[in-house]
Amino acid sequence: MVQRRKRQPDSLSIISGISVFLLSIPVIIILIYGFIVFRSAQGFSHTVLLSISLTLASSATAAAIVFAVFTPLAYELARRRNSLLETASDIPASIPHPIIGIALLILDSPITPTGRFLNYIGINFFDTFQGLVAALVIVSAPVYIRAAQSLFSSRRVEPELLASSLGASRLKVLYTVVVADSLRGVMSASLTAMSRAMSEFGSIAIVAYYVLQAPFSGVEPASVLIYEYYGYYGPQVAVTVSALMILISMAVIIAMRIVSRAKRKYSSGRVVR
Amino acid sequence: MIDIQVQFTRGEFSLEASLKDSGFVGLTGANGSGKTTLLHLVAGVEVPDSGRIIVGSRDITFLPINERRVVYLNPETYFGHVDVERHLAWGIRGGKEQHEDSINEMKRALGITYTGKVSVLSLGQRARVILGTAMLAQPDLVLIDELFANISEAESVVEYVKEYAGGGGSDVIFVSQEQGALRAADTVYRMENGRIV
Repeated sequence: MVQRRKRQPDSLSIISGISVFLLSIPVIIILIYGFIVFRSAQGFSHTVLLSISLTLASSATAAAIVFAVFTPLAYELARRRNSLLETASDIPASIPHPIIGIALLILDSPITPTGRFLNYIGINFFDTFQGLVAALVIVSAPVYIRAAQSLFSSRRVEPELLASSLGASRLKVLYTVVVADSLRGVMSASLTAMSRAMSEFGSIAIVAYYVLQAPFSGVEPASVLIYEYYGYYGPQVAVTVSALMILISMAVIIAMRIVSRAKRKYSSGRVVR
Repeated sequence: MIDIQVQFTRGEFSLEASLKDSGFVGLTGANGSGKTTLLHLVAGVEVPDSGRIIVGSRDITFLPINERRVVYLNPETYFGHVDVERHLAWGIRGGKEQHEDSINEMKRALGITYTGKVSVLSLGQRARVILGTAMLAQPDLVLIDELFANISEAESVVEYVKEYAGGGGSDVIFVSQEQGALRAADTVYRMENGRIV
């Protein structure tokens, strides 16, 4: 039986361990105070659960839209480097997010031509589910585009060349060869986008502080609710809700890790050791 | 009929090639002599600086890859995520149900007796599937880049591809160092330093 040699920790792994610990301190503090020290009953109320449901539903919807709309761009950037397109797709990630919320409000305002048009076709962003999702799409798309671009760049190009030379358009190559062969990677990138959407506050506090539509009528997204509870009740309730939200975010991150590990192990149907 | 007259320069490497032929055409030469670059120019992976590429009666010099009806094959041009049957049917218009007989005939001719995902096949098994996929698609020209080397008992496969090229199928240009395959070619061209000699 072959015995694996245990790796000895070196200075780099010790520094890495300390770095991860430093990053984890706020999370650990919130979990300890939220579930053990404060443990506020209001932190588990129906309002909180509805708020978390709204966050999950809007983030999952945003991730699905991001996948459907931005996969072609990620592929284009992977195969034909274009610094103008890359820079433009990074902008939403590099500006303060309240700006995204303000931009959406102006886009949808009845005093602007775009707003009049959107209202005419029945689209209203202010305090609606679609406004919430629109903001989440914009802030999470850059994360997805970068992850998918990196995934597509790492693929060998020969299958795409074969498909093209057999007559497939670039769009057909993308969906029948590239996405079909990278489903787990694309799912992992989508979960990353969902994870990013769940953490959003700045833009949604402006465009959709509450949602005024059924089934989430009067419900606030979790990040907004935590902010509001902090202002109204002080840290006790806010920290308990935060701890609950951390657990849910961790579940998404764990799902993402499981999917991406399976992707590495069974890449292209071949076991990669 | 294939009529190629191209000039192409990238960095230090310069290629100037002229070839007018049809049927089962072999291309050989030392590493770095420009064989793969010439196939890439014909396939549309690279665009020549000047010249023309005519296949049949069509000038394909500046057409996009998917409009050339020229299939480029090398040992890496396969779809790992599909099974053998779906791979073979990939380029067929109308789907595999309507062409089951042709697919079965191709499998028999190329000795494809196995199934499963293409990514888990051996190099030689995969090479047979790649060749079958191209021939079933019936393009105007098939470019084969060093694919025969991985196939055991390659003579029968080479003979079948030659019959296909001579029997009204596509013209074939293949790059090889295998003497057996080169002997079967209708014409063999040798490349040296980016020139056909």
